[in-house]
Amino acid sequence: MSTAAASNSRYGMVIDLDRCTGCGACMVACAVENNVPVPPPEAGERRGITLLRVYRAENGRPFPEAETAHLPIGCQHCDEEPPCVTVCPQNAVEVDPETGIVGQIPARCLGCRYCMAACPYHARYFNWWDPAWPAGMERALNPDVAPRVRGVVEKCNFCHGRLQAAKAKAAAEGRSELKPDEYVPACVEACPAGAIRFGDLADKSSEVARLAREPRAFRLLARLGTEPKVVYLSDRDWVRQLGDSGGPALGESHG
Amino acid sequence: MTTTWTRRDALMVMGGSAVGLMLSPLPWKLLDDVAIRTQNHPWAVPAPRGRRTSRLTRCSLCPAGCALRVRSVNGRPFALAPVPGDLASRGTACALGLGAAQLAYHPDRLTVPVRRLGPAWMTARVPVAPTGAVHLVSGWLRETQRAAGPEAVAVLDGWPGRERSLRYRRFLASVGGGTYIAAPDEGAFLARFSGLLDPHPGPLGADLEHASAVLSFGTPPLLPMSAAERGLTLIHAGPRRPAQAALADQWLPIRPGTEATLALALAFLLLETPGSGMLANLVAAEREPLLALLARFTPEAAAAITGLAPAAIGQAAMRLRAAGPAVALAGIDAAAGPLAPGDEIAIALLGVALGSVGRVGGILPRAGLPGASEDLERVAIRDLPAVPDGSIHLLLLDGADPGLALPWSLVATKLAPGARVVSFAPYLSGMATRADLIVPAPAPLEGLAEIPGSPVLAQAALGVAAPLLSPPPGCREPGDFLAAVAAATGLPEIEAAPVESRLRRRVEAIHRAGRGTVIRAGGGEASELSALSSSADLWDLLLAGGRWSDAPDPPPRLHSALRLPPGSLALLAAAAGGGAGQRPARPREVLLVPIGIRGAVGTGSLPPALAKLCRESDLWPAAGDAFVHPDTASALRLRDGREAVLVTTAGSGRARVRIDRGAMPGVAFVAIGPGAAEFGATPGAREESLLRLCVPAAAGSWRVAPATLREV
Repeated sequence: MSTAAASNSRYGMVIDLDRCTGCGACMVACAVENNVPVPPPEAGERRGITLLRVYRAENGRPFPEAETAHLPIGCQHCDEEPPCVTVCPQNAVEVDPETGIVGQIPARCLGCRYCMAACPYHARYFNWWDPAWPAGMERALNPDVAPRVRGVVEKCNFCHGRLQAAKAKAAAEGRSELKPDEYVPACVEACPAGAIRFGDLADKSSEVARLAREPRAFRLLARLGTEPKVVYLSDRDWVRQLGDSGGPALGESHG
Repeated sequence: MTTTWTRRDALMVMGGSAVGLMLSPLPWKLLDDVAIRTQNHPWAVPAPRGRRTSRLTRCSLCPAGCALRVRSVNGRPFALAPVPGDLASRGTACALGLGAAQLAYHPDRLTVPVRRLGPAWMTARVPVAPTGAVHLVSGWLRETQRAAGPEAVAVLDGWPGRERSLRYRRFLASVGGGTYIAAPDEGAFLARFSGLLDPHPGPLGADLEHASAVLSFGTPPLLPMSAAERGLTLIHAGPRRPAQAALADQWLPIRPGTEATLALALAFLLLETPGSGMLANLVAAEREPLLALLARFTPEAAAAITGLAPAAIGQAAMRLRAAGPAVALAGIDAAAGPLAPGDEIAIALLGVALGSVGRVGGILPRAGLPGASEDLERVAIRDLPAVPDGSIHLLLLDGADPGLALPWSLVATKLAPGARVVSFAPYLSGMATRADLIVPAPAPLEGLAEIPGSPVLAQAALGVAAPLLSPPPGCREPGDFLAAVAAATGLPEIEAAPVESRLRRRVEAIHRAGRGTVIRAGGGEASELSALSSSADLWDLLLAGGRWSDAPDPPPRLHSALRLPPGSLALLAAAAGGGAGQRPARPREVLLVPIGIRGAVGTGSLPPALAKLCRESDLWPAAGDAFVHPDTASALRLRDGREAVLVTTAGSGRARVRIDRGAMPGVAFVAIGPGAAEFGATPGAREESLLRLCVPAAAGSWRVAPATLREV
């Protein structure tokens, strides 16, 4: 299934790994924007919801040549045959033909987790617990994003609430098109190093489209042919090899 | 023809219908509906509904004071985001600031005063009425004045230089001369530097707005965003590359405790340069012995001590020389604190050798905030190491958290037996857990707060964070509480005016001075302060997220020379010889170096979203992790992920071994925060930070300690 043919836009991200310092601002902004709760202590390291997760990878060299790269990984918004769409028995994963965004619809999700097994990027998370916040904080959640309940899968949707808000604002102003900087996900806005860029990959004149064509651009697991709309940049060979998971360095990653 | 229905036919129809039904969408639709229905449990938390607003403000968590856009629902902030148009922060904010809207709801939050039951080791606490808390502290104050005199009353200020700090000093003045202690901060090195110059130039600051290169020993200072955009060269010297130095142009991985050696070696190379003319800057009385000391630190000799290659030292010297105005700064590590005095003297000497004193882009006199230091000479500012041991009977702990660690053992040695400790922290965490009484102060976003600029910078600055939430009724501004204590004790009245009116007076003083520029958070160019017709305009601008920056007159040429106090050469020689660092003394020993990220090692608590990040990823070192090189691990028979016992002369504790190829061999980098795994746990159940294993020296430095690490 090709979603590109029918779409007007193909929103995507370009992440410069040589700029990312691993400060975590994107992860915090993402959790705040999307009303992601802190899981109970028994959740451990792997069962919480991290719609965007920054992995740490090393070049495998000893001190003092050891180098670290930080790799933010969320849903890659595959453009060709997103595996999660194919396997979902509930049609709970849909590709928006207008934007190219692979959306997760929690209200339809049965929690079978086929999509989690199918996703080659491990970018999907299951809600093992009902969401809970410290006392009083439930009144200070993002009103544009409904909290998800126990038993459904979720993932990055490029801050869909922000897209809807931007569309509503444009409509109120009598516009049908969004301005280029009118809609950006929270992680893009939060990155203090300016490492994450966002825009329309279908617009050849956009900054992201230009960056995605650079020689230092690569995609994760490009050999699978899923054509992710998240593109990474690095001048370092060992970092670019991370995209192919066969490289030794990805095995060094923590997180 | 008649059709007869047999029982068999009926059963077949029923069976066929059942199978057919299964093949139809109906059961799946029912299943789907059930799924949807079960997702709308009445106990599921709905997103809040109501009026949405947005406004600009400044982050009050650290001196960077980044501009933030606050989105609120029904008047409650739910998300903070950086402001791209802001000229000071240039659209940046840290992870801590972005989660600050959640801090008011932290499980550790205190909303009423609480008093500890029983001795110091007990964790049980009971609520106290606000008036009861006033009378309690008033009683302790009278007792202290009677038994040990007014100087036995002390305030430890976590973030000196604020309006709240002035009120502490006024309170101590009304007590009759109490002890005001400033917690170590980034400005400590420049204060020492100023003390070494003759004639004494007063407060100093680094002109990072115009510097071309910065050599940072320890964590780099908060660089102005304009500096990064100008392509400032950043060289970082330290045993580990902190996150703040991730984008440094050069990293000099020196052994722990060898900062002075590197500084002297670089000074040697710079002074050796023909025509550098810097020799004239060395004071005549100490010149010859100092030069003799410097001559010992050739790059080769320094390389043997620091572990660097001689070429790396030479390359750094060349970069500093070629870059233009350069500054050498002794940074304060969030976890490992300030450098030792000997190291700071060596770095000051390097600063003189760089010719940075009194030069644009170098070290300049720093004008204080107008209106910030009225009639306070009676209560001088003291550093913690300068306070006599066992001299404090009543200690008031400020609740501000500048995000830097301070070992309790360093504070505890200053306390007399049976001393009382009162904390003004909003949370029951960090140092507040040591207090006999906690009077909670408003949490971030709950009170009007000023944000003085970084004490490292030559240009003073001021921002204001507007109150966005109402504090719980049991929370109180520390100054207001102390005014009530003064009244209850019969002390001379200290000003009881609300924070806003006192801050307005400061803003009026700035407006009267007429210096500097102002920026608006929403964007636009900086404009002269004099363009604002009244102080009310300046106040409104600051409340809307604006910022004032001083722009001092062109710097006077400082004809200062280095005057080393008696004993400095010995300190310098001892520090440059490697001090406590270099290699472990015994084969099975390691050097313990505490590590942590600013904001996550102090007395405050992490926003829930950040605690989650720390728990679920290892982007930030987690409290209790000990990072060691594979060779060190192999020599000590340590395995990754296993628990080990860490022993120093200060005690022992459990750590989790993390094998890290990037760690310096022979060193255990021990994370002292954040303790994210303990988020939501009761304070009594928490592990105490491994910071207690660090051994503070008499001079107040705890950067490195010999230790043994043995797997359990």
